[in-house]
Amino acid sequence: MSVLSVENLRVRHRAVTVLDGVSFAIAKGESLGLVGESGSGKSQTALAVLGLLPATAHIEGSIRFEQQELIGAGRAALDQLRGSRISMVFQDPMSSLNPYLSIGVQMAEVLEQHRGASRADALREAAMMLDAVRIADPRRRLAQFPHEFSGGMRQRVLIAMALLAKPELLIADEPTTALDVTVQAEVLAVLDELRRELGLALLLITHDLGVVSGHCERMAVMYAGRIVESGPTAAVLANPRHPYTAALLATRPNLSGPRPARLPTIAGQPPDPARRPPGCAFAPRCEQVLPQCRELAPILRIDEARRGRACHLDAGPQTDAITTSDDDPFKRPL
Amino acid sequence: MSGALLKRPAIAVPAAILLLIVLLAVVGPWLAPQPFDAIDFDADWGAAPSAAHIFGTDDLGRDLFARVCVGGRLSLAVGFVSTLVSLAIGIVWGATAGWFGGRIDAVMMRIVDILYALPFMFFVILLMVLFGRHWLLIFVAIGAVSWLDMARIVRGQTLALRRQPFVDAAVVSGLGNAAILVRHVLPNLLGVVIVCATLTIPQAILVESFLSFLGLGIQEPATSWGALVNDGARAMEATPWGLIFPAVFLVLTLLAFNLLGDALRAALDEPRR
Amino acid sequence: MLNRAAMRLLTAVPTLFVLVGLSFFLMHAAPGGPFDSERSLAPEIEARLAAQFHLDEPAWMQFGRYLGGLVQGDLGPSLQYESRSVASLIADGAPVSAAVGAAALLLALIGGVALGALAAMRRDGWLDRSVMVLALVGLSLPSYVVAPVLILVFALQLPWLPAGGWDGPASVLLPAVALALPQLAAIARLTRGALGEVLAAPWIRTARAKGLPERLIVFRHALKPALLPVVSWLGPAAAGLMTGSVVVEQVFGIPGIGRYFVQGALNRDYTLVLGVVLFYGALVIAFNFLVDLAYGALDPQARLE
Repeated sequence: MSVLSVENLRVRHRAVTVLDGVSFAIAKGESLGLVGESGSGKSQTALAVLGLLPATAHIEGSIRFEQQELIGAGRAALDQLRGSRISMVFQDPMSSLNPYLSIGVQMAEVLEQHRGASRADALREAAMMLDAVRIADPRRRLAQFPHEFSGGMRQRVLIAMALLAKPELLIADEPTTALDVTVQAEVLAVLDELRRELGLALLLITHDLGVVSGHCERMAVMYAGRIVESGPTAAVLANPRHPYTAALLATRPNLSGPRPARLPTIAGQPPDPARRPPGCAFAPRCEQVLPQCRELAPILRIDEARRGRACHLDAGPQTDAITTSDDDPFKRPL
Repeated sequence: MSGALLKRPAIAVPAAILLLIVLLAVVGPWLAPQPFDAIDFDADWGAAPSAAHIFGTDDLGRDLFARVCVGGRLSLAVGFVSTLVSLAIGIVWGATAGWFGGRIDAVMMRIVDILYALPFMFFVILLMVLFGRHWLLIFVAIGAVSWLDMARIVRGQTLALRRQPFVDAAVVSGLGNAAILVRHVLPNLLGVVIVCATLTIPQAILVESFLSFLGLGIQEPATSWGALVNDGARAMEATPWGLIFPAVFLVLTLLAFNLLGDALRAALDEPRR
Repeated sequence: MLNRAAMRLLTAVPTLFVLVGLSFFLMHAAPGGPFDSERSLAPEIEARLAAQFHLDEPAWMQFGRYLGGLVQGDLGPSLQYESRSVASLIADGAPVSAAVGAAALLLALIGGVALGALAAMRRDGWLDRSVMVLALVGLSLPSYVVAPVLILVFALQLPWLPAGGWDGPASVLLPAVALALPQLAAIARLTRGALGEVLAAPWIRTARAKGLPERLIVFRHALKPALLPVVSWLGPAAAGLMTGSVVVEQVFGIPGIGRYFVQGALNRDYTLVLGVVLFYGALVIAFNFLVDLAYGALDPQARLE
């Protein structure tokens, strides 16, 4: 039973398509890593789930949380879920907390809003949660303002705030990118621990394959607004099936094996979202490109081992770029 | 650049209105049936608008259209000249503070802060009362009290420019401070200065009309919009047109300058977004 | 910000000193004297009057004498209003001016913030555009144009309110509106700009992600930082209100301080003018001091500095 299932999600800002048919699902308590370069649409996916895209964005497809359709849901319906059953941790801890309100007020209001808790009760729980993310002296800390915390501590405050109402799903958008490497490990460890404790499903958005391999059971790779490959993390990393994933893995420095003279890079640039090529978006940079790659966008097919791939290589004929029938592999959880 | 700007209605409309008003102020007195200070003994005193006097006459039988045009000349002249004075002071003060930075900057901007907090208008009133109401004094006095915004803006911009590589290059190549300021910094201030000046002009017009309204500004027989509004307000029950026409011209001019300044600022901000 | 407030207090005395000094020597350098207007004054009477008020002494001695009085809280006698002290004249006018000024400030603050907030919440909608255009019109409407029009409409055409004079609370209303309008417009523009910027901040997105209703987001999360520029504006606004009061008190025939100032300057009533300048100067400085404190209370980061 999936907590979140996203189907054929398309997001357009004016003429620019930023998400072009994204589908995935997250089961209860599962952690999914969404990987891709900046601009591939990871953050747009997260914002779409929370209904935080600008009002002018054009959104199609389906986002269901526990069977409830979120696309087109009203503000009141979204506010019932946001911060309560779905929470989010944003990338930049320095600017994601309100500098004019104390940490205590910002944490307490979550419980006041969603549980109708009194300020005193809410602060008591907030203090416990700060303790859980290993912030010392939480009582005193609650009275302080964001500028009195370091970057890593702020991110832990944000995580504590997101988990305060015991949500079923946490979306973390590059939660450690803005932090020092040593602090990154700390924050991720805290996140892991609490996730297991609370039985929380996690959508972890990152560009860092190392983070995914250590913290996510499953992963999905995004390129230019689409998911190109998905599957159990270990399997995908060990045996990538999409040329883009393979190329991405090849760019990682290998610390144990022989050191190459130069790290390989992927030639070319991701396509300009305003001028997306027909067919596979990776085709212009792909070393194994086939003629049909430039004409027909490959669909994400998912096999028995729950590995998905959107590529024409060794895939057999594909008649349609997008199918909508009920047995569409999109609709199966990854 | 300026051509593209003029294609925008937000800029073109107020600019066209201002052009029309300036034109009317310049040419209008020749179109009027009699000079602005002549009395029409055939018309009633305080006559309503008619074919002979399209804005009517004032309580002395003087043609209001001619008076509004002539008053406009003075009000507009005050606006432009006083703004030039404020530009000169503001740019020198702001550029000096921004360029040298450190203690000099701190002291100079502290002075601006203090001046900003003073009811400056009282000084102008004092100056007007004490030293007669010579028009030149009006220009200088108003300019002298409206340079604070300009100084702040120029200082901020200079401070930012100071850190630009091309300024460092000029320093390295041995140019003196004054030469760098004049050749490299001032040209880059042009945009903000134009916007600020556009918004200072209505302020200056406002101050002059304020003084004239109190009877402290321009003196008879000369007149300005402020003086005309004052005359009109006194007799507004019997001859409302005496208040309405100068007030409409004054407000329209102020509004057009404010709209233009706003639109120019918006245009200036765009590339940064 | 506390440093700033302390700095403000430290510079208050020198600022007022410069203010008084400048005004004093300006007046004494100007042609004309306090007893010029009364034509038929015999030379010996004038000399006696001059001696009585020490006007026969050199300017610097008079200045010293004035400062000496000031230190003891004495603003001196009025030269024009016989047997009245400047302090008593100011004490008479101050409550009247303060009533109009406070009403205007309140009106400008409440109306301006409300309109600006409304516009910011409906950014780029028709409401936003109309509020912003109206605010620009408000900025372009001088109080001496608004005041006669208000009298014409609300006192003469519709006889709802008194046209002028000082008789009960109803006579505060029209002058306060005329005085408040430009400040209200300025505050509406400031609030709209600041609130628009704050609502685009990343931490507002965090608040949305927490499922807070818009009401809480605007009032708890966004309004406080958006009010900071408005609070800073209150210093200049107070100065603007005082300036405007000179005209408004004239138009409505209100017995406030503003009228004393103009009359005093015209009559070369040196002590009265100095007294009013000093009073207003001190008031503005005090106001700015309060603004600094308020700023510190609103901004936790400034508090630490």
